[in-house]
Amino acid sequence: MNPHDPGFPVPLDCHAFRQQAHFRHELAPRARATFDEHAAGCAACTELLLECERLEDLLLSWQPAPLGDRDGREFSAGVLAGLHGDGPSASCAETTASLHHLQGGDLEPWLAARIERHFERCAECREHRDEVLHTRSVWLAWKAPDPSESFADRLIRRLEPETRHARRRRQLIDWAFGPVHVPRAAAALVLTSITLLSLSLLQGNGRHPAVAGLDLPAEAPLVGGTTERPAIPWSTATFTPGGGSDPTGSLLEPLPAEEPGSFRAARRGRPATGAQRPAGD
Amino acid sequence: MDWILALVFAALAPAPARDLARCPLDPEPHQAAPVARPGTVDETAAVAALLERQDRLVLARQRELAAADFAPDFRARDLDVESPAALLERLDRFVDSHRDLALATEVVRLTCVGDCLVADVVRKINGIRRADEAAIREEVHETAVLRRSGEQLRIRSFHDRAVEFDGRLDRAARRYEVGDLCFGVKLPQPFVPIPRRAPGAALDRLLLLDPVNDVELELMVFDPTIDAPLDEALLSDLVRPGSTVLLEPTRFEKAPPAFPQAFVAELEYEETVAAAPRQLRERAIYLSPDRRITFAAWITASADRFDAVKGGVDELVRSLRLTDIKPGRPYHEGLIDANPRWRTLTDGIFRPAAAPIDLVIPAGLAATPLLGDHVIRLRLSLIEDLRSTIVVRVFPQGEKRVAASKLLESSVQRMTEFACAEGVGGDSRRLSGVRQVLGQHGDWNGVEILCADGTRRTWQIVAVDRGGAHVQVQLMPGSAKIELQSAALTKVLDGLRIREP
Repeated sequence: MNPHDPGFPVPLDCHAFRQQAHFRHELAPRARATFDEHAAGCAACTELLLECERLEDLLLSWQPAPLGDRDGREFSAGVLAGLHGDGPSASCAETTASLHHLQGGDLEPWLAARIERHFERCAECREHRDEVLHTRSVWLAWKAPDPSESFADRLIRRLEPETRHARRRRQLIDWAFGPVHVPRAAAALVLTSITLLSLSLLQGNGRHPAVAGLDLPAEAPLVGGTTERPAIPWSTATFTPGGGSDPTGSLLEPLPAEEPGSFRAARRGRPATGAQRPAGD
Repeated sequence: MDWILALVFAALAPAPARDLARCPLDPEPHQAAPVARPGTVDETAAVAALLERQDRLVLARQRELAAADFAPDFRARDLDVESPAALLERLDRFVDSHRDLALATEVVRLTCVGDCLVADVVRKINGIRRADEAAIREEVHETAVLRRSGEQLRIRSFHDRAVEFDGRLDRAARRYEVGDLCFGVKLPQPFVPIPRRAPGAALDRLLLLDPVNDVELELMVFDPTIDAPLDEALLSDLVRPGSTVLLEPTRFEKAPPAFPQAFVAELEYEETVAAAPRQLRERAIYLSPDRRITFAAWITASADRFDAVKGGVDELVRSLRLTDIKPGRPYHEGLIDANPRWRTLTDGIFRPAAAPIDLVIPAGLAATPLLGDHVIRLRLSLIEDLRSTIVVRVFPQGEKRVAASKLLESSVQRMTEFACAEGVGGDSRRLSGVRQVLGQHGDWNGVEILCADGTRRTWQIVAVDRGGAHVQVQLMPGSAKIELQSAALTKVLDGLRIREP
């Protein structure tokens, strides 16, 4: 038996027909004949085939819609312009809703760009933005005042019972037995205790002296939910953030050397005259 | 009965109004914090007069009179000087070594914050150097910070100013836009910006001063040489001897858009200025848009003012915006698009345009060209030993260099704690010699550390001058696979070649 002989065609069932319907043009002649034979004998599949052909006709006859007024630009130019920020702008409602996020720097760049474009054409929203900016600047400029000297006294008095009933009872006691001073020392003691307790809780929450931490072994126990780090390397060289620990020193090296004997060099304490020092030393 | 009535009236008496009329927790009427504003004509004239008097006194070598214009807490870190006397002494020596000297200082711009004035000035120096009779003509741009003391102005500090980057500042809009680095920030009040030259291979640096509170805020952008997690890099950069970490690196929740990675940390340390110790605190935020290029911002203030001013660094960081980076494109690739000179690796060959040196990347090494000028860097990771790295550094002609032996010591010092698996270093010995590189003998230096577990680590660096450039190849071991690392170093040295013009 010739293994390459495809043999007699196997009749298709409806399921196989539906599977082959969308690539029927690519079927081998024998398979296509089987496909057509099933279509001729099955009304449901015939209807499906007609539907497929109508759909294909529609797709083939589709033309891109007119691009409309693009200021004479090509479509690709419009896309490029969009990528560079010349895109659609936000509505007034969107701008108003997003303004605080914009000023806070919490918006995605493309959303921020939409709103910035809206500002260019909407004076009302610009005015609203200026108001928000002003409010924000006033708020940021606010500085907590130092409490007056009598603040602690007033605060302690404030901590006394405030209900009318309590006040009346206090007044009654005052009237009957003379004024009874609030034990300020006791109140101060309570305040101090609360403060110390808060501080100890804060220290336990990841705040701890690192000098001790530097000497801890790599597998130190957990402290307040954070793991102590292994020893940190350091050198006695200049310490500054911004790549200061770069082991090659590539981010700390001094700027190109000033000319020896120059005013700039002299102010830095370099020799005002003399031979140039060799680079690298 | 009267007693009972009195009791009833007393009980019904209204509460005294004195305590409740105003809540004691209400804030007192406050004064607005000072903001930066342009100086007036009168203020500018006063500063110009002071600086002109300084020039006259310096030329006349009247050090005592000149010192009267300085504040007692004068300090200029850029000039490495902590007293006016030391600075004026240096100027005296400069005047002595020149003749026909002319010194003129001109105020370019004045910004006022509270009772402080920040003057951008240019100093013009002309004269003849006595040593070689050479005519000198020099312009120095800097920023002077002055403070009103009664009716007088006193100089508090001088700062270097990179005038070539002045164009990046929009002072009216209080924005700093760096087009070629594709980012911009808004400058928080009341900080006064001073553009700076980035040190070494760093990409950018900006200094912001709050002269009223004596606070410095800095922003730096760089491509780290070693690929380390951002939080570890932050802590390593921040910590110093005798310092106390107040806040371990913690995720910074208010990172700006397009920065998926951001950490914040705080530190306290003691600084001694003019023999007077003072406690300083630092809050640093490290963030990266692509897990590689690092934006570092930090604020330094005295411990007593720190809490009131540390929000400035958060405000600066939150205003960071990337510009002209196509969506989905990593930031560092966007930077290479904008700065084609940083495209140093093509077709497996490292080829920096600023130096006539090529390196054919050997097999078994993964190459990452790092962005930056002044020091051109290439990071090579050993594929079979990913913890070990070889760094190639090329100093183009005219750039200041650091001696290889000094660099090796510094590297070992910085990394020695990580040298051995158990986290502590052991006995070490220094090695030196020569190796054949680029057709000539290069200096070879090494430091070998014997770990407690008996394994060894060997740092090596080879340096050579060729074609006007200085080339350093440094091996930083991360494991005990010494033979593998040495073979990789040899392959890199063999792959170096001089590029024909």
